[in-house]
Amino acid sequence: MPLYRPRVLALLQVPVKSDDGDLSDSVTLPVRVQSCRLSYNDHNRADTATLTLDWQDAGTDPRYIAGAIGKVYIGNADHYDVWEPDDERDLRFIGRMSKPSRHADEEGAMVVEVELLDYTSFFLLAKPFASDGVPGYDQTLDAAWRRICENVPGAEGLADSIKLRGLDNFPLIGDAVAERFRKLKKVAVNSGSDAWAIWQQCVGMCGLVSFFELDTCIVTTVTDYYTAVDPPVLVWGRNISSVSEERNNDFDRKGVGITSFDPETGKTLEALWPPVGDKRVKGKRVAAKKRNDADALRQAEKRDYFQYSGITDPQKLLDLAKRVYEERARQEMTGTVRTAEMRLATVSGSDFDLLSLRSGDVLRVEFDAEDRQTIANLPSEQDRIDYLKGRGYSEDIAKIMARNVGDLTELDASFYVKGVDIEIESDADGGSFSIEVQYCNRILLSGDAAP
Amino acid sequence: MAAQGKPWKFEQLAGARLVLELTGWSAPMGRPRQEPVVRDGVSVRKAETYYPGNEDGPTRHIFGRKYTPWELRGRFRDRAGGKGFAKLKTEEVKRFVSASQQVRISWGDIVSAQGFIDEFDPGRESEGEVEWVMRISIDVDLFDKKQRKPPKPLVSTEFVQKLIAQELQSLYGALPPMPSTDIFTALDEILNLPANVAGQVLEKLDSIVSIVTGTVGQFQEAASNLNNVEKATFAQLNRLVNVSVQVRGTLAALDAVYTNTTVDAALTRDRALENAKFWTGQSSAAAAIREMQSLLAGVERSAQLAIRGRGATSRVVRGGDTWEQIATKHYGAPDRANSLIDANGVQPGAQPIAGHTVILPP
Repeated sequence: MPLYRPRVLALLQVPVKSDDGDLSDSVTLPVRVQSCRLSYNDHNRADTATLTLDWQDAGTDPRYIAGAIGKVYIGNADHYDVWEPDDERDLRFIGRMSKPSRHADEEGAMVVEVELLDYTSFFLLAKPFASDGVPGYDQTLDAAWRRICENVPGAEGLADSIKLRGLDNFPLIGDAVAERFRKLKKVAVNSGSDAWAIWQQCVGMCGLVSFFELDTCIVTTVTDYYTAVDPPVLVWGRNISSVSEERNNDFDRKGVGITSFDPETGKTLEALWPPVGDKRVKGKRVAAKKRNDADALRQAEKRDYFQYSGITDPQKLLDLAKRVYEERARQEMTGTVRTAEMRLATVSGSDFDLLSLRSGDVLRVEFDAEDRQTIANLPSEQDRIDYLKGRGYSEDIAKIMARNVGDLTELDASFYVKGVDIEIESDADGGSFSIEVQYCNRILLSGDAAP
Repeated sequence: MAAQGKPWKFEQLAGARLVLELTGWSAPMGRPRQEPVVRDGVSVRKAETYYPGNEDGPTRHIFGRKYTPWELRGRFRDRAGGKGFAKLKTEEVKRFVSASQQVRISWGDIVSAQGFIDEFDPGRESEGEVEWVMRISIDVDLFDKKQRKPPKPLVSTEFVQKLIAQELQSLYGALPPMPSTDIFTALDEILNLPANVAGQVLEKLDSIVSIVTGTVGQFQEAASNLNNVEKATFAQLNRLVNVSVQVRGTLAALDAVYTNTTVDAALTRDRALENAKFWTGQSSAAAAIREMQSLLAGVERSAQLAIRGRGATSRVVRGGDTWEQIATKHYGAPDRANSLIDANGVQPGAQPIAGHTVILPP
């Protein structure tokens, strides 16, 4: 079985006064880490790193290190127990200091605890956002990013830290709206929005997604981002410590509707997905004579409506509706799986660094795949029931499973990663290492389960 | 029994940097086959995860090691050091421990460690007899640490780069005048590489090897042409041989550099796959160098044959002939004697032997 030598190191880049008296200089402190928890969230929240540090390394007045930038490295030492942290291989997190604290008690325990938030937090804190920083329709996304950065305290240095994936050029924001709308110049945003919400609005209008990867803002296409290519595999009975799955019926067969108000014409645009009358959307029974009446059908359908400002192009609004539907559809099935592995095999057998797993990646969680396949291969329903009872299921559950055997084999084991928590802790007697992955099911835009 | 002749030494690593020595009957003691003087064990700090349903054994995470705390026992007695010795020694040790400093501890060459004395517990049995116990947390077993090092010191990539640069610098000076300047270009590139690209350096070495291979090919072609044309002068053929010898010397030096470099660079690699790739590359290069040397030997043989062919004129030595006499008779001047000696491959000072045939180069 695998043997790992997990190692963790943090570097704190602490601003210090220069000869001119400002905080333009900095010193970098390597600090020993007693425990570390990295939480990678979705793109609307900042990722966090919570560290317990050695007092000798960082046991100073918390105010001194309050403005620090932290880097967290986690890796695997070699057979000689040697580990040289490598930026490309082992750098797992970059963020700004959020909550430095130190604790000492009469029993002699002296520790320093710090919380780091990734750079998304700069933008979340910029609320309400100055109107000067709101991008214009005449700007491309990278220019919009620069404008936003210049108006977010602490984020000025990130203006050039933006990368585009899946497209050759940054799109023009104005391309998402009607010609007349561009006369407004600035993107219409909700009052009180933070800088990140405004950025996400600009990106979302163009049908793209954006997130921070270490210290770089990534802008990519939904297709590019949500594409499963040779995902890593976790298998119950092999490398899963615990797993739990649940289905949320709240979103069951609910469609979405997106509305956008056009202030110039005073009209509201609307986009619905799936389309009205689509069988995927659950609804009340409609009288036979009204089945060709779109309004009647629509009123009968179960839909959740969301307001979204700034889009006047119907096609763009429809693209957005599809994306929202996809995101919500994923919430139908959620699960959490925990493992102690640092590396996993992928579907094709390649090696995968599990510490690099992030929100939006695809993961296969094979919980009872063998059972599903076995009962599918049994010739009769009674054989299936007998087999399942032999496996410990009650007769009633066995009947349900046996009768739904067709559906069971179609249920895919590939899931989208919603969040990842990595925990590593070391003490005098040993330590612990675990990775917990929150996932949700992967639904294609067509509404079908992913193949 | 106390360990005679092997003193226990405790050195504070900070503060007043006091040194405490416990020798002779004052040293920590054990009882043969009953109680050791010290237990200096080590345990692995690890976590094991047993997955439900998996019977292949646990996944292990190794976080480091932990050394067994030492518990030393001994006895201070006036009988060993004179009246009042036990009391004074006890006070000395108490002062030493109270300073609460990190200490380096050694028992001759038997054990050596760094740690912290947690407790000194003297039990006064009488005025001149104190039985004591000392408990020490061990941070580092210095002997263990030394032995755990890889077979050779693990060097940084920067160090390897520096080493390669030094070796190539010396090689650079030793290079013969080559017909192609490509080698010099390649060497310059290597010497100017940034410090973090040792891997690229090795690729560069491979490129040197391929350049040299090309050069050798040119030599072989040149030699072949000379043989065919048979118009090359004797001096040209000699130059070809000389350059070939120099190139072979260069290859030998390159081989040495490459071998040394790979040994050190390999130590910086921590992955089996990369190691395998690396060693494969090394053996390929070694094979290429051997092949080149063989080619060059062929070039030299070809040149020698050409030389012999050009020196088809020969003469049987008569009794009493000297090289000068033969040169005078054949060329009209005694100063060609040296070329005769060279052409016939004889040791300096050796005279021609009567009855032997000597080659008379043009």
